[in-house]
Amino acid sequence: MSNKENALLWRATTLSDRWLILLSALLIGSLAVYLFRRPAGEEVIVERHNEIVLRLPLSRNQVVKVQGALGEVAVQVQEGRVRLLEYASPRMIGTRSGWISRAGAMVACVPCDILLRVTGENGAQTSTNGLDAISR
Amino acid sequence: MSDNDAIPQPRRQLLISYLAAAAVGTHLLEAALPGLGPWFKPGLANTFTLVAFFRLGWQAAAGVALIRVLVGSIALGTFLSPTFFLSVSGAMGAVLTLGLLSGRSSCTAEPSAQRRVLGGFGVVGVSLLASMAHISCQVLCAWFLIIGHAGIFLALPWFLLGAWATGIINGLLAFLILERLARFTLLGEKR
Amino acid sequence: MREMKSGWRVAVRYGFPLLMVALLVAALWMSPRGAQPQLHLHTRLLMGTLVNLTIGSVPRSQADQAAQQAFAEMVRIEEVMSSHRSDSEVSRINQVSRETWQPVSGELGLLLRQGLQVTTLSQGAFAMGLEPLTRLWGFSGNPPATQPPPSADLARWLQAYPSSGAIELRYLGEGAAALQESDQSTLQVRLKTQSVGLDLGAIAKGYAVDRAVAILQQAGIKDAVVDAGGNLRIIGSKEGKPWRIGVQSPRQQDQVVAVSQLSGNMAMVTSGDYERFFLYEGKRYHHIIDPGTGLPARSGLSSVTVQAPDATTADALSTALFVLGAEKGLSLLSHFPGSAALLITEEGKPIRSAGFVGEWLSVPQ
Repeated sequence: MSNKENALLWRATTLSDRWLILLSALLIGSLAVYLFRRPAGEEVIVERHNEIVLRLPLSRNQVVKVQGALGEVAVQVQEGRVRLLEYASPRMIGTRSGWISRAGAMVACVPCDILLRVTGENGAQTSTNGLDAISR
Repeated sequence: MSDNDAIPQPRRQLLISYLAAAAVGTHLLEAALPGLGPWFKPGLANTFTLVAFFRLGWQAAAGVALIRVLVGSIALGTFLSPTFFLSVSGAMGAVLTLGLLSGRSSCTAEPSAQRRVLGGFGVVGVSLLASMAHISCQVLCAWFLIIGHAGIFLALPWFLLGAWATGIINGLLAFLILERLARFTLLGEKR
Repeated sequence: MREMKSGWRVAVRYGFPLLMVALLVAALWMSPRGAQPQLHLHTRLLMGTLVNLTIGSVPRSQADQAAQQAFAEMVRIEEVMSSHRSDSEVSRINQVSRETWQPVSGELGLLLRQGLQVTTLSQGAFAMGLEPLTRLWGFSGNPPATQPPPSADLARWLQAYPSSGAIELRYLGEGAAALQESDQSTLQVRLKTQSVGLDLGAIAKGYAVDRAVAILQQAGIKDAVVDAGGNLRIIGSKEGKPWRIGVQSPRQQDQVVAVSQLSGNMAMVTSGDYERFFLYEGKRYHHIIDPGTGLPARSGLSSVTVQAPDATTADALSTALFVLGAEKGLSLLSHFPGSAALLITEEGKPIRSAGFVGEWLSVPQ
């Protein structure tokens, strides 16, 4: 008897079992792919005072300086994501926003009057907590 | 599906209690472990439900599962809480699956570890199916009773993955236990 | 098992897997991707905050156009009501000498009248004449203040601030006829002392939200959420389902402590000690000033969320309730039918008024 045939996995499972293991794994995988497929944004729109001042493709890594209401703000694109980098906002000197990459995502520095928005489906947003707005 | 006809009721109930006790014990031990979070329990206690299923039949398995859920929740103080209803729904899903699968009994002369159920599934296959049913029912119950919006379904693949893994692990464990037990008949005599 | 009727067993055997498959299909169908309602999101940086319009149930082009109009209206209101802009009507009024009656536009006059009602009923907890005081504290300054103003300046302000009648309105027309918004000559306002200056910060955003809603409704929109930096109002529903509105945790910025399911018409405005503040010598100085003391209100609350049929009222009431505290604040609500509130104490405990629509989350999301 070869060692392989004595192995626990082989002993403990029938042919149906093994098919089941494989098929269920595939099913879960495809479910995950289906649920998480989101159109990746193609470019980011930079707005100053609600007017588009810049459009950058997310495919090219770069850092662009934009004039904000309180001084210069750096917009950094890297590996399909974008963020606000090193902006001197009164309450946060030299800080940066988080990365955004999904279509429709946006990030803003309100005092700088700068808004970054990734293009793409401007409609449905899946928020995991299912809230439409937050009162604060 | 079992050697049911061969063993007297008192003996049968004793065996069920042993398995139930083991299941409750494992359940409490797991609950005491920190870290994994309320949803990602390994669910090792289900191993004993499986052993009951393959040794004693579907009704015995249902009994073990039920006792585990009830006694476990009372011991942990979660009786009648939302957690409890989640546990119950999961256990019901698993037990119903077992019931479905046990429709056609295979050769009763076989040692339990080798039994096959409807569809030719063995211990691991049954465990996997029951585990998938368990988590699916729990997620549905959670969606209905607790969360209330469809966001929870985004987490479904993760839950299913966990159930897939624990289903296989539990199945293997149950197989090992059944193999050892196969050396004895249900009345306790050595074969 | 052998005792079970074979027909029943067959039904269970085949029915159950079919049921599981059906449930799985239903789950997939219900998943966020599948059942997303047709919602259009528009965002602008306005009035010093991020304004989000969510419009549902109409085609994209109609939503876009309506949103443009709503934003334009909000810009216009800022130009009239902002005390930071030197060319606004509010600033012009502030520049005129005190104790003088001067004309005020119908729109501003009506807003002042609505606000003065709240001022009177709240016994001054909500006030619209605090411009010199807010300038002293400098929360909206550039850069914003990081320490309290000298107590001598505060004392001087307090002394010169009138205990009543800081802002007075009068109507020169005949009888109690309805005030026309465009009628310039019949409404007049008078500011009493140098300590008084119009600052509508505690009510103007709510008014802007109401006007935006009105514009949207004129454009045929029935389902929308107008959210001006957390001052929001909902109309209609999200394709039959209620809008889900969260209340931000006062101390954990990324967490929500309550969720309200709203439909039809409801404004929700929150005032909190976490929006604009600085820490100085271990104490928190926030921007909601108690006009009675000249200092940030210390009423034991960290945030107040008011629900009301219109955002103007909700905005004013949220400030008033914060200053008044739980007991007096809740009794103030009884003067405003259809309004309710959720107060959160400094320890994070919730106090709800009767009629507050929403669920407190025992585990914040």
